[in-house]
Amino acid sequence: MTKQIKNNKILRFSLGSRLGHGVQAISFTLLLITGSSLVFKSYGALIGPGGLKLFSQLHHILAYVLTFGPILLLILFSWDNVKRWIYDCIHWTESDVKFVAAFPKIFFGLRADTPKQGKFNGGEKINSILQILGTIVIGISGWIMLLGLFSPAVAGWAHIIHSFAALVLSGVVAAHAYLALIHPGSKESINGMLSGYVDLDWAADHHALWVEEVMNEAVAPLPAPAKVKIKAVGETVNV
Amino acid sequence: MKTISRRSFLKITAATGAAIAASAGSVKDFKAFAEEIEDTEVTKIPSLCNGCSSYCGVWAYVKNGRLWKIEGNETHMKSRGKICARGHGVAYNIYDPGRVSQPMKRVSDNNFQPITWEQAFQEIGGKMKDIVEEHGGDKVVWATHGGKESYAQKFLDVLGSDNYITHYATCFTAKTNIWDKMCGGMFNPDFDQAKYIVCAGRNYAGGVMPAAMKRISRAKAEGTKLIVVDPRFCELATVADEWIPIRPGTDLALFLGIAHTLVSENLYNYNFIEKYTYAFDEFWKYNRDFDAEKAAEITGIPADKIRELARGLAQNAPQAFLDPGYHGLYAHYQNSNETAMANIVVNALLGNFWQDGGLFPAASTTFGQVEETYYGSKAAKGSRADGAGVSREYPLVEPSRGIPQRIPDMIEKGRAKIVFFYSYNPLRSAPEPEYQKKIKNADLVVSIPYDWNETSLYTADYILPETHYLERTEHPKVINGNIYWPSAQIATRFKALTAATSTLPLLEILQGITTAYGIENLYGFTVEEELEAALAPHGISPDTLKEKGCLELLPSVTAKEEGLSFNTFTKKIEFSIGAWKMEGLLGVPTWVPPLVEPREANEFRLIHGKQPWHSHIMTTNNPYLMAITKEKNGTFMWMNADRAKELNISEGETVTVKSELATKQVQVHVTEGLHPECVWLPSTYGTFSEKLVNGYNQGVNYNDFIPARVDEKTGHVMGQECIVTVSKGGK
Amino acid sequence: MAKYGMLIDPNRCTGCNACRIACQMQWSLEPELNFNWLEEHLEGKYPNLKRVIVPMQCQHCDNPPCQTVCPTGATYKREDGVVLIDAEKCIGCKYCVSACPYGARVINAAGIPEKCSFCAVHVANGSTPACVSTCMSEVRVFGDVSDPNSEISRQIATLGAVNIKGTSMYYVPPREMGMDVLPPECVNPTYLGVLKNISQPASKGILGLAAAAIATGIVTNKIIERSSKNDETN
Repeated sequence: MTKQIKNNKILRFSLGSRLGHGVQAISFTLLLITGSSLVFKSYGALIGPGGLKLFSQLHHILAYVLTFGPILLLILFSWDNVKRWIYDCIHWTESDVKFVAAFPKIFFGLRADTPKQGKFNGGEKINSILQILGTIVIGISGWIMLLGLFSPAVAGWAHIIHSFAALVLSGVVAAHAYLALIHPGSKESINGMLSGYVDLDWAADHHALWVEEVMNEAVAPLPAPAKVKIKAVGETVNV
Repeated sequence: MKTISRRSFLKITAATGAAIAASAGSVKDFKAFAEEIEDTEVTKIPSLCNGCSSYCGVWAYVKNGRLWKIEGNETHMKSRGKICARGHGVAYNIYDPGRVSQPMKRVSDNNFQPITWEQAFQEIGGKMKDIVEEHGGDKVVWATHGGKESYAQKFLDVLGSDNYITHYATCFTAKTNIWDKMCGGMFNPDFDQAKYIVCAGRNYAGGVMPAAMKRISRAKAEGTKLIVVDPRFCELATVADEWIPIRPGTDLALFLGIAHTLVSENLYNYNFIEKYTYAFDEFWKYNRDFDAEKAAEITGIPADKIRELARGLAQNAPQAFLDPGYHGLYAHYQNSNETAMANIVVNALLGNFWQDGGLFPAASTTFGQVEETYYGSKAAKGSRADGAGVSREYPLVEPSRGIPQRIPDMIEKGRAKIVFFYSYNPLRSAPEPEYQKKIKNADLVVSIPYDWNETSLYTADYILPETHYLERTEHPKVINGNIYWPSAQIATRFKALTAATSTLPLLEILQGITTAYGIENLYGFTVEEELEAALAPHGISPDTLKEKGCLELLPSVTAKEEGLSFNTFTKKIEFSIGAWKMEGLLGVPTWVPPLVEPREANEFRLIHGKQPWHSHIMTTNNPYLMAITKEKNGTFMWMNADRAKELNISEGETVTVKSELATKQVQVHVTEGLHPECVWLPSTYGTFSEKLVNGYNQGVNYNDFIPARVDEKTGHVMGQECIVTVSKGGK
Repeated sequence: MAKYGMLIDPNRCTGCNACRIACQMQWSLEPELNFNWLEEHLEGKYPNLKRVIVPMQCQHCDNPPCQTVCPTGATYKREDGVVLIDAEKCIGCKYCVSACPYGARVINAAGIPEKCSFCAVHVANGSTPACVSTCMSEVRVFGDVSDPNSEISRQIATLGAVNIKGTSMYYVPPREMGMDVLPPECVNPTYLGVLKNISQPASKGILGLAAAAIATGIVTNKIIERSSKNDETN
């Protein structure tokens, strides 16, 4: 058995990935909370000038966190996984496409048949792409405004892009959080980002191709007591 | 250069004085500051700006013992409530880091050690005594701007020195000398009633005079026509009805051409010429052939235009004048004297003297004198070191103005052993700085400046810093001159701020020196006593003057129809100068060409002028004014666009400018607004005192390129008799 | 209620810059910060030249774009027409700097925008704005444009000054140049229109949709879960 599988759980995300994701998630949320006080007038009025000043300062400090935190953590501590993740996001198979097509039904709880998915299903791939691109766009436009090195006209357009991208990305993040925390079919996945492990049965259901791959890796180097057998999805293994 | 926030200044109370805490300044004090204005008392103290020779009346607003701002005094006839950019900047010079903060003694080249006033007085008094005993008191020279003080003459009288020398030969002695000789004094224009004004070599919007611009502006709104004749499309030309470019150095020809037209077309005021002028026939005898065509050939202005000017002036006479001018032509050319003469002739032909809309003498008044405190001896007066007014030297040059530009000669010849510089900086404002540097060869050089100017840094043995003008009270002044005003006015400086430095007003400096020298009680009075005594005959108390700022007397100069009299030998305007004839010269003006002319494809006449936000060389260290310079590329040398094209020079390019005396690099401003024969430099830049950090190494000064000449008749420097070659590239 | 405005006659201006520095003195600004400036226009070829100088500053717009974009309400327009900045509320986001069609705002040393305030505080004490009182050629007039007898109203009429549309400023048309040298009418810069009318509503809409979808998803999932449980128990 591999380190990756134990107690009927399978390791989905390393410590480095989790830290990177955690920093991204928390700083993004805080940036949203502080930043939207400048977009929604009633919210701004609620916290008053002192609150707005504080939020503005926090927003600028957090900008450093979001800009440098996740990327350093992921590259320094999770580079292999990051490479794999980017690779997956770029390479799409028919199963990914079918998943995406079925996604609306899945979202609202309706039954839908989907082919086997890899480590990241089609929806997650889309989310990944949106998050990466979105963060980059928000980051660049934000820094253009913060650095003050560009003309007011450029800063004005940066403002639009920053505000638009931030709110849209927030919508994506909200849906992502819903799926991770609440949605019945997928809420197990939060554990992947907390302890790193997800339930093996759940994983075999939702990310079968990935489980197979891991099992294959796990089995190959060991001398094989014939007791361990590759099983089809859904079947439990009785040793 | 980062300056300390003035906002933090205004928050510091007077008690903390010079310990300026450079707090970043809470910027929320935008509102806090506004609130403070309501809470903190603001005191208004009257003074006179020191930014140029207008000495506009100002109100200084003081808050927390610091200067907040200044505003113009409504009554004062040079400001009429308005202040120009230089005025605002120069007020702020109180906080100028380039100020000398205490007496300095030279220890080596450009190196000084601070000393106390006591030591300064002792040493200077002692050294002076030794030198005077050995060489005589007539070897003492007092070189000054002129018109800024009235104490030094007393000292010179006791010493037996006749060497009160002013800077005016670098400024306008061709004008003042000639008007004095021909008309018995200066006459000034009345804009309010004029209908047709020709300004040649006069730029009231560049060499700014706020009241003049205010009145010209209003006159124009009422329909007065303003023509500006100038090689450069100057600031005044911007609002003029017409700009007429003229070949530099040929204004004399224009004036003669206008005069000729007035006479030959019978447009002149025959009556006035008959009754109030002398030697018209002599003038006409020598100029009857100098018609508009001749003038056109020389000036480049079409003959028809010249005739048009003459007719315009005549049609509107006597409410028309050719402006007498100021600096613009009258220290500039070999023919500047004749130019002034022809200017007077034209105005006389219009019969506009003592007429509304024409020219008037300055109204004046006198002050009471403080009781004499000195009863000691006075040495016999020796001869003038500069030769001004001395037969066989410069007999025609007025001693009251003097010849300041060749002081090193006087030193070399042993005529000047001790030189004082008060508010005068010949190393930068006189021609040929390398020659002027030899001033340091004098036995004793004492500079009484405001800041670390070049003369102080390079030549002075002692630097005795004077207070900023806002830091002292002065005896009252008669406010008049340069432009017409029917009444004389009285104003002065009242101390608005306490000096945070160890500087002294001039009176106290002279008291210290003379006492140390051994002259008891030469200035045995305080400035307050002077003030009291001066105002007493007018029945005014100093408090009243402080309250009003500027007091106007009853009108004393108004239009006269009959009985005009001029302070000359004949009591008339003399078209022929007797004193010149006595020296064997022609008495009437005729055409005299400039001394030098540009000929080659890369040769230009170097001319200069003033930018409206600078005042010659005295404002180059001011960060506010230099910020404007930076924004507007103010240091650039102007060149005509066609000439630039021929030489393949584009906007902003660095070129090498070379005369016989100097080679310098400067960036070029390519413009349509300049006569092709010349290049134009603003007169401000080229500071070479490293201590004036804001101005140091910025731009180039015209004085570098010209030799220090002396015009024989009026002493002026011929500042635009300068041909330079301009070539692409440089360092 | 007074309505303040300023009249500027570019035909009188010779470009002396006294207004710039008088304002700097009045407001204790650093040499590099100024609330007003001069725009110079030179046309023609030697020797036929025309030059017009147009003094510029905050135009105290009727519907200021800076106010529109300010997220905290720090920038506001008073009833008398003066547009001011409440430094207490300002967070230094500088959105207003981008929003101003005239580039009238400058950032001070602490990163807070400042601009011409028509010297409101001093006007309240009976003074004239510094730029007006110092100008030797009397280029500027300041006062109550709602009062037909005020000096500014009379001068506007006499000189045929035009109101810069959407602002509190009146300029006398230049005699020697086209009207295009005068400041343009107040319109929101393109980006601001896009921001306020398109991108912000759209992004809020998208966010709203996401929220709605999530809420719906929660509900439908609950319903379907319950019904499948019922199916099971049945």
